[in-house]
Amino acid sequence: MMYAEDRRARYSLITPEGVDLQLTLADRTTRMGAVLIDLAIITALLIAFTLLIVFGGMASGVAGSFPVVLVVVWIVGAFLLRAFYFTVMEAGPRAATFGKRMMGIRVASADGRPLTGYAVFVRNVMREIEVFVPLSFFLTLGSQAGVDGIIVLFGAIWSAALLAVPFISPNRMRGGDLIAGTVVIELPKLKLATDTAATKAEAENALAFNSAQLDVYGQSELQVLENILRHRHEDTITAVAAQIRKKISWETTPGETDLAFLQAYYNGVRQHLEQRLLFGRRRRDKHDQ
Amino acid sequence: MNQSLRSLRFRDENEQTWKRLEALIGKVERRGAGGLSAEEAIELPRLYRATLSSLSVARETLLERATLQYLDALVARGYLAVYTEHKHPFEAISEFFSTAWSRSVRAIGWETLTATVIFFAGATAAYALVAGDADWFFSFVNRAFAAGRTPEATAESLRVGLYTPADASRLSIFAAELFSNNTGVALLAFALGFAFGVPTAFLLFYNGALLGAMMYVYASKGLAFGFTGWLLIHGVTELLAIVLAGAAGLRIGRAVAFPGKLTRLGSARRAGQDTAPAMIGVCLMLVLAAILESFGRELIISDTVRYSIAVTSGLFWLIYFVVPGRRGKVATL
Repeated sequence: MMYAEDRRARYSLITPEGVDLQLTLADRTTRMGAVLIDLAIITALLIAFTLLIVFGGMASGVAGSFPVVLVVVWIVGAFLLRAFYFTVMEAGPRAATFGKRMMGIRVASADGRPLTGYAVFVRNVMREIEVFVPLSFFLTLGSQAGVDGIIVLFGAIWSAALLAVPFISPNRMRGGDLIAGTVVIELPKLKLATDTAATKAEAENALAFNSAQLDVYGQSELQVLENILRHRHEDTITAVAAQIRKKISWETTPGETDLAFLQAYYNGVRQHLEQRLLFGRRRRDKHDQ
Repeated sequence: MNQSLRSLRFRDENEQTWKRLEALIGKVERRGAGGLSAEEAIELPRLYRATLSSLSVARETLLERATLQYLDALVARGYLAVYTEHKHPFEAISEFFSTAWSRSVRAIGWETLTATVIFFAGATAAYALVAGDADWFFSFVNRAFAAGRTPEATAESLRVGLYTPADASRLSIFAAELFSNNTGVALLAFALGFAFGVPTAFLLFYNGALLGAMMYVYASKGLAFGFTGWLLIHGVTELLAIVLAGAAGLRIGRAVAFPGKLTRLGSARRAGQDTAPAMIGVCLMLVLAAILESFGRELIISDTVRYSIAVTSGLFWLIYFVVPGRRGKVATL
């Protein structure tokens, strides 16, 4: 649970300065969620658009005849909305549809060069056969009793093959990504949080740990401790404080709270490990000497 | 502030840079690279590089996860904001019309020839089959589409269809539907190309067959000349668009089947990038064809005018695709 995010798939992108950005690839379920949100938005827009046209037509129309212009606007508008919603949204500066924005993901060029409008166009033309064809195939499956068995089989194989692409391709690319040369990455907007060590423990001066006590843990445990201090869940703090006190044989000083103890110990270990790092000795976890 | 931890001092020294970068990235993400003022446009890459170097230092010296994650995310956003398309939309549009579109069409020259051959093979086959046995007609054309223009129709009714100005209001609805339908078919022909081009070839053949079957209906009543003129007002543009979409699809199929020295994926990607402007052009051509159709069928009755429009539009596309953008740098897609 604590390290779950480290198992997420990385997408290595080396900047011209030689730094590996280690982008995180978007989960397939996240992307599926984004598409579903987008389909819901398209449907809602389509309904709103239709109502607008219908009421507009009734308001302006002579009884019994519906203005032709509005019918034409509806046909073209509905088509453009369905066919180019994704393209137009992703060609914008955020490179993400509303659904993708909500899920915190965006499209990027796989080779690290600027994402072009052409690439966005291609990946979304492919969406037509990757999303809409299987979708309409499964939706109409029940309603057409008399359809040839061969055609159903072919449709099922076709849909399954397309849906399998993101599972077998490199970097979870779907067909459109492969041909356009794009990837979908997670790009969270994180705020800079207060440094955990910036909070001075009240009792810090009173709590002095010796180097044997500080040498118990490595970077990975330190980060778990950081997480605990950030969330300040009372039961966890009590339990962890007790465990650490036992592990380092710590005599509880009078008036020392669990939180103050953990904070002081975190600051101590961090100082200790940073000192080691200065000499080029990184300690990844408690098993690393 | 006297900080005992080096990591806290490091953060104190650099925090302002990070926050400023964050603000500028926010602007680029909201309004594009054009949303920055001149000073900010100069400031952005400088802040980005400073933060990138912060990240390198942080990865070696920081132990705090939250700050590392923050810097990771910030630099990634910064990278995408700095290395973004800096072209003004007008510039991109003018480049598309002046070079990218025609260049992309020329790049699929051989495929266009192949697609044309497949299309006319379909037309010829359907024509021959329907000529042999009129029942074949309904294998290619469904009744709704034919709208009475079937082998059983009389010469007179067909002639009336060709030379009577159609009801303008019904036609514009018809044109709008046809545009949606044609664009859908064109996009499909392109997208299906990745399956080695086979479905694309089938789609081209089938669309050709549709034309061939309809042609027989008119030709058998001695109306071939009239039908061709009636069709080609918009048909030159529309059929060319469909053939080009098919050609782009065939190109992708060829790239996947025969990648040459590239990897299969790299080859497909290259083909996708090469053909994208041509496909955007196809969509524009279909809009144009729909407009020509709704006006042309209503206003233009004379065979001579019809044929001159057809020839003019054909010449226009020929010159437009052959001439522009031959010189100058190769567009980087």
